[in-house]
Amino acid sequence: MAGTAVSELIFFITALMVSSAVALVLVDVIDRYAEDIEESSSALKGDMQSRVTFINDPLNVPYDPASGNLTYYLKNTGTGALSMTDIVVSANGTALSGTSVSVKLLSGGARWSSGSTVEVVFPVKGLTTSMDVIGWASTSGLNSAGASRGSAEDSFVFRVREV
Amino acid sequence: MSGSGVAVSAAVITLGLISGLMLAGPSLDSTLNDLKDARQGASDELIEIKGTSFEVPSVKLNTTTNVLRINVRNTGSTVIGLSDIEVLVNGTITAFQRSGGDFLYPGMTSELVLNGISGTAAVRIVGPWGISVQTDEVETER
Repeated sequence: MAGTAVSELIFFITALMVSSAVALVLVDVIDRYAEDIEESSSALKGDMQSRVTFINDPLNVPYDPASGNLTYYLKNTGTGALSMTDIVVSANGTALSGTSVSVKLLSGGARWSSGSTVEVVFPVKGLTTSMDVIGWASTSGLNSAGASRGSAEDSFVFRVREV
Repeated sequence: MSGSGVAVSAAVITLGLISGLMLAGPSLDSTLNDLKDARQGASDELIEIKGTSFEVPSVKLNTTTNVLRINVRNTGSTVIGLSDIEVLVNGTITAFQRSGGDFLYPGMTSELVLNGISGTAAVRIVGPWGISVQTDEVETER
């Protein structure tokens, strides 16, 4: 009898320990899932607020054949700010970013806010006025604290005009 | 004892489930607010874009003074900030001066003046949201 009571006590304690472990795992999993959902929704909000548009004249995109410099004009047509340091541009299969690309905010200031335009100059070799070129640009959206949130991209087909 | 063990185990697991859901509550609230804000913002944006339009009734280049005058008329229902406008001449963004105030109200026409322009082939006016009008019909005058 005493042996039965002891073994039942052991089973009881074991059951308690196992159920506690399960409960802790449940709490942890639900908490992580909720955090993931929160991050995903923040990223989605960033994507919806971030938009960039090429405003170049597609038939007259400025190109200096001597230096190989091609000039893009990108307008922030979203409602949030965009990053000038995360810009990636591409033309005719050449993609560049970072220090290879010169970015200037035409309105002055330090923040590429909604409605502002940047001039992006980067080298691309071998473009001619008779070529149809596919251009592409992307960058990150920024939240009010300046952290990356979402992304924006645009593409167009163009011809260059030698300057 | 075994019956009470099962009951207590079930109670502990249920408690864990409820605790997890309570901890997840603030995150889910924040998620719903983000999605609500984003949906509202997208809806407001669409309404503004729909109401934004403009036309370029005339572009005149004085070949003696090299001054280009562009008339822009707001044909939409929203107000256009003139600081949101870019003018591209032959593909290059060119600075301009404007008369009147900083805003182009619905139905209003504003004249944009660009100096030092010669040999103009194409003029492109870009407004808010990237909406643009392009013309290569440039009247020349002396």
